[in-house]
Amino acid sequence: MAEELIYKNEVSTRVEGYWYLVGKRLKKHKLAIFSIVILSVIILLCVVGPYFTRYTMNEMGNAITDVLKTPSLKHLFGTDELGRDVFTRVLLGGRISLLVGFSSVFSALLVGIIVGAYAGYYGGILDVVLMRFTDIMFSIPVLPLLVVLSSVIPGAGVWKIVLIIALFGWMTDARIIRGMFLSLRESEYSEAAKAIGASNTRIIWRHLLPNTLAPIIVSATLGVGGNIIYEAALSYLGFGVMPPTPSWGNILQNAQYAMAIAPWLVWTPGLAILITVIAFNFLGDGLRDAMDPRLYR
Amino acid sequence: MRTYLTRRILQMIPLFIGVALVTFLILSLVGDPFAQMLVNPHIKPADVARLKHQWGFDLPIYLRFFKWFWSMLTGNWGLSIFAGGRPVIELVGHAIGWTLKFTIGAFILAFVIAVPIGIYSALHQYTFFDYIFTGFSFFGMSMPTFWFGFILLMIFGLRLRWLPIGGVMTPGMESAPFFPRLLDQAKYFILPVIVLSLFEMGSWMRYTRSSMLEVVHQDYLRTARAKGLSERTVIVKHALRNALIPIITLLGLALPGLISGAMITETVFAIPGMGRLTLNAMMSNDFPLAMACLLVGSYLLIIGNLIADLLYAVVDPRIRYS
Repeated sequence: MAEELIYKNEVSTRVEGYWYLVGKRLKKHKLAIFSIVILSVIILLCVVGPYFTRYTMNEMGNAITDVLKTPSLKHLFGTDELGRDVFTRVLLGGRISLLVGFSSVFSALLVGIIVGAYAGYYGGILDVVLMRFTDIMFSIPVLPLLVVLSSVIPGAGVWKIVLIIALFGWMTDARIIRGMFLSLRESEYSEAAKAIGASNTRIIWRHLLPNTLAPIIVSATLGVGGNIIYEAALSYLGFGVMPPTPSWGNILQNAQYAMAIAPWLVWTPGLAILITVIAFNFLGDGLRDAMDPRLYR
Repeated sequence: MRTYLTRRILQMIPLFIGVALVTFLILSLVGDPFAQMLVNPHIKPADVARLKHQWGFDLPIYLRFFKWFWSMLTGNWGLSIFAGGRPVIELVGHAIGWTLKFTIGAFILAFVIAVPIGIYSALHQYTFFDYIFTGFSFFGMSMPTFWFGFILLMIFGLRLRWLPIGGVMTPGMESAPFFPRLLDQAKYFILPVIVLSLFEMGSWMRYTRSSMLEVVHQDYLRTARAKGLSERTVIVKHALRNALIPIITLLGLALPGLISGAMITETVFAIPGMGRLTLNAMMSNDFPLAMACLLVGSYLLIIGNLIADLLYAVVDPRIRYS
């Protein structure tokens, strides 16, 4: 009877694993939770919203009556110089901006993980070569380089922008992961894995990499926001996503010329970028606090 | 200190060469500029071959790199294509002056505002003003530079008409006496400097706060207080000196962001600096100029990092002796 009670008690107590604790701590971070809500709304609006708006991306209104209208019920964010509905374009632009943000972070992470993990795990000459290369890449100012690459690499698609942002966004991740691998490879469980005959590839990907997940998640969350800004900046400079495909950056580039007579064109896309990026930054900050190993007890 | 200095400077040399190599490789992706000529039936292949030889394009790529790198080192940077054949070195020299002027202005503004506020926030953790400043720093870190520029232009330039809407000086002021000219330029620099400093301001505020917070709870501060030192001495002499060490690294890390930000700010405010020069060069396919710009930008960055490292060694003796 008593034994049974103890047994039951054990089963009913939730095992407080690492990720459970992280979730619990994150819930206390009100701004991070609020950011998750805001981001979900923004993502949902951008993905689903365009199906419900009354206008299409490049639909132009009447050249006399629908051009440069101030925001109204008919056009929530007004219309631009071609009579296109800005609300629809901001939603569609959000799709592109978010797509670029997420996929460039993902690809950059992949490169960063490979470079950092192998440099940190094997050490020696490979480490020296890869890290010197990382130093070199760090020493070239990013935006001028992206501009140059964007005009040197042929093509004009969204994926080209993802590629070039990813090509020069992996260095921070690589450094973080290398640093962690340097200490992780000396750990007992890595030695144990080696002793039972696990291959190096298996040790790197299955045993060591999961332990670097916390900083990777934080850096990825902050990275999405950062890359959205990079995309916007590139598009603003005319080397990013090319019109007529809208992105938050090139809608703003367009708005610049009508700034004096149509300020609403400047406000909405910019606010969209600002709110999204702030939300990613708050979320990243909340995750960093929640995953801090110094707090994990 | 001297050994540290020499070691650091020697480490820079491979970095300089590596950056040049990467820049060269990226721009050689453009391909063969003579390929188009070969298609043209009016140009004889022999002529193309002669031109290729003249410009050194028949050499293997590594020889071309050394040739280019050597001419960059000796200051023979060639002529620009788009700016009417003016020497590249002259164009870059002009542009770099403007960029440095307002970048340094932004750097100083950000530092002067961010560090005291960061310290204040740390000493008054979880108070009303701490929340306000934390909010502001996130706002600064998340603000797209060019949009912030637009808004300031719209408010102060177009609506209120207090400040000019771009450029670097009023036409006709080039020959004015020193002080009126300085005042005139200052008016043009207010908005760009604010725009460029916003991001660094936000992130430095946040880092100063957290690095100060880390120091504030340490035992030696309690000792200092226990020994009867005034609160002011405790904070300024004991806490601040240690809290500032990580911030100095941050100053070096901020440089790439400043150079990228400067490119956007220059475009928004029509400042004829390095960023705009790079953009114009790329838009008109002026690759020699673009290459020079990219290289100069990178070298500024490496030198800036060196300065930050040396400062670090000055404030933290542990670095010098290890």
